[in-house]
Amino acid sequence: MTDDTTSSVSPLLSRRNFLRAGVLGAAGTGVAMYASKQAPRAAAAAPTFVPTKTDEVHLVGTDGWVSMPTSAPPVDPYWPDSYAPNPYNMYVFGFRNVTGLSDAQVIAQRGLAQISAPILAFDEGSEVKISLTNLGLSQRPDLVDGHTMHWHGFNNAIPIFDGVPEMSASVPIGKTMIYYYRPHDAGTFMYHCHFEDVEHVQMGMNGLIYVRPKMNADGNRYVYNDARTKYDREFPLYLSEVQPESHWRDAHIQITDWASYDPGFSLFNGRAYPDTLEGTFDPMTVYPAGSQGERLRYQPRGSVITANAGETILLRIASLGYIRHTITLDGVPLHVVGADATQLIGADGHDNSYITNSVAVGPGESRDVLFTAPAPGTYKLYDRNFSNLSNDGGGGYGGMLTEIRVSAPGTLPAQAR
Amino acid sequence: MNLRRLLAGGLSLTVLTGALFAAAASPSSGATPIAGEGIMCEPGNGSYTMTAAAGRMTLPDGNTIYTWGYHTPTHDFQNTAPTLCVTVGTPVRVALTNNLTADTSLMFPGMPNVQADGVESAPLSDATGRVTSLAPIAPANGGTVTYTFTPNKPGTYLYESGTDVNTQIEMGLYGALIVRPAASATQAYDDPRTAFEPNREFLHVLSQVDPQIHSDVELGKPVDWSTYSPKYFLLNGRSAPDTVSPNDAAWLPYQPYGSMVHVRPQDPNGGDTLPALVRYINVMNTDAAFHPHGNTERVIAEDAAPLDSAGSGDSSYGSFLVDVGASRTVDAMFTWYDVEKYDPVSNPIPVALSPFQDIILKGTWYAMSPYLGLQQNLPAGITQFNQCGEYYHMAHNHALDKATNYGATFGGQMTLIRIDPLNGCPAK
Repeated sequence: MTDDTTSSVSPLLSRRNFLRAGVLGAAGTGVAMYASKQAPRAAAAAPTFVPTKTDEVHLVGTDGWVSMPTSAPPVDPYWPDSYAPNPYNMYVFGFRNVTGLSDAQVIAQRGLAQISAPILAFDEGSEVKISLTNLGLSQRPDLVDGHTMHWHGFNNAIPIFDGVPEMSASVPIGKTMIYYYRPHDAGTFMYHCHFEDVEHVQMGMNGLIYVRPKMNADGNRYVYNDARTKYDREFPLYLSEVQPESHWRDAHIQITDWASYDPGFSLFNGRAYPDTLEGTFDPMTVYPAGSQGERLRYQPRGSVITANAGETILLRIASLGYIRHTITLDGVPLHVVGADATQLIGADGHDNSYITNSVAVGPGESRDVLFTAPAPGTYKLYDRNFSNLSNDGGGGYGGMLTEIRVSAPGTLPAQAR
Repeated sequence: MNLRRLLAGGLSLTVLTGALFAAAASPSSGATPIAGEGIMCEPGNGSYTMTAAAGRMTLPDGNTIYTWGYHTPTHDFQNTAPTLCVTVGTPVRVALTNNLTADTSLMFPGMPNVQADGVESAPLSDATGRVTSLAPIAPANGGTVTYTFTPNKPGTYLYESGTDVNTQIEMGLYGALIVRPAASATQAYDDPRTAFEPNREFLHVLSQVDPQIHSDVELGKPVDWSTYSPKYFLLNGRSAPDTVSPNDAAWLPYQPYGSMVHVRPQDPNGGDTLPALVRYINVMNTDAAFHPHGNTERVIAEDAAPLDSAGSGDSSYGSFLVDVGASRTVDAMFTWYDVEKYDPVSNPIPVALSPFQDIILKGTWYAMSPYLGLQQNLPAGITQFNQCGEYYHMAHNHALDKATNYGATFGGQMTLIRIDPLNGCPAK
């Protein structure tokens, strides 16, 4: 809920933001920022890629292929999908960030979707222009589905930028629509395509949006405009599930009964364990054949959380799965300071944040969670709903499981923006 | 009993509808009631004659489902059951007649000292001490029982069958019980901060239907819960897009309750109106995560307990996903601000808008203009429900498999939020 209605329309503020947008735009965004952050894999001490403030973003919506852990038991005929090109095994829809690419490069991304969607990060009060291009579906040329941008949780939204096809418009194949936002509220949001939502969201068109508070102008990092929400490092923990059967059905021109939802893989940032421990890759980079980079470049984000002991870590947890998850970090108290992009304070300022060992996250919900990095070592972060720790019903561990790797104080440099 | 049914059948729905709306219009209210919208309280002033009966509901995909429900003489049959709006301190009496072929009963969780035919309403047991019903029963095929109680705390409650509960609640034996504070009918609780805009009070009862269970019950076959798989997901007994049809729509005779939320923007110049109140009740056996588009709601109470931290401070919270646990209730406030105040002349939207040739218009609720209060015609061939350039947002269960009708998208637990221009929407 927003009540700063007067400041939001100040022409001065608009102009300042406009100037700032120009400067940051020149500093490099989009694909370039991915390229600059490609760390070699398995670098436990390397800071995870952090999104840069971006005011103009160009997204495309298309289809593609990704790879779930190959150690999972096959479920014939649904997974691995016989249509999947090597080394992939599952059909998806997804977004890609093509900011700064040439038209020819943009068109070349047709059929190269990623999951989860690129993380978008903006500053409170900035002007945000998101161009969404529908590249169509390379595997399903018979489908003429539109795509939309739904900023999930945007306060006081107007329908044309809310992305619900029946309430406004959607983007047809070959066209581009510009969505405009001025976020007035800090917090962890999500975005997803709302066209035939049960299918397009499940197929992978979903991801995170960060809105950083104005108070960050003092040089520190806060979740909200409140000194109690200060942190040192932040990491996305984006939750979703995939149902291999419905992905196979989409690839093979079959109809899914979505009311019989029964997911097979549970994902952190678009990957299932043990792939969550792999590094962060770049969809635009060609990796050596047989490498993890080749297999995971369309699930580009790893989920290893790295910190120095004693630092305050922010987990931006959000879910666009269809079932509830309960995230725990063995033995480490978790301080929930925000929920659904709203700081946990009452209307009278009363502090309603709370300490817990398990953070419940339902469909479409987000939680801002702070914790103090414990003594150096490796800690497990996972879903306490253990049915989500299996890959497609197989034995051993899979799904929503990753690691927190804590170094001695002073080991890791400050997290880059 | 037959006489009562005859009377019920003979009453004109139109006449009753008019009477209901007249009853809903509080003379002291600032806002005008909107015909066919908002919470529809059953007339009765605390005294209700209720029948448990079998009937049928229709779904938007054309399916018809055998179902059970409670109704009063105002309807021949209904699902969701009548919404009972009562007041703290005023005695409530519900006389139940059971026309089902199974024993049934009523439970009023949260109500104090409920009496059944003058004795304490307590679980029944068989000779071995095993529970047979959570409340005294009205026997099958015409049995009766009368429940009485005097509510002592305001809030949103549900009432439901206490007999063979899993099956009977699946079959439709549930409804909303709204207890208003004695001081004000337009406050959710005693705290004045829980005041809501008169006639902007909305109800979302979430339930679901597994057609297999309903078919088995109809055919008298044993019910197998191990294969439970709901296919329809209801809001106030309807499935989207029927949810946006008005209350007592003639084409939904046994599903009288719409669920569209209808507000006007907060007016920063003329003083804010009070928020709308949305009362959520989840009678499903799973949690619900309900997502109002348009704006974050503020949750002010859970299970009829106001979130004031027992006096230590305000523990209400903002939420764009309203969590309603199984068998729980939540009260939330909704407002919408026209933050950017876009105007095609003085403050145009700062990006180029796509011409209609370059967008897909599923249309229907879109004004063909992004500006609040401006309406243009949709291209030929697309039905337009928009009246005056008002905004529509969606509100739905974000377990998106439950925003479907048997798996088909744009259905299930989904309704709309309508935002009128500040100066209202002239009737066409």
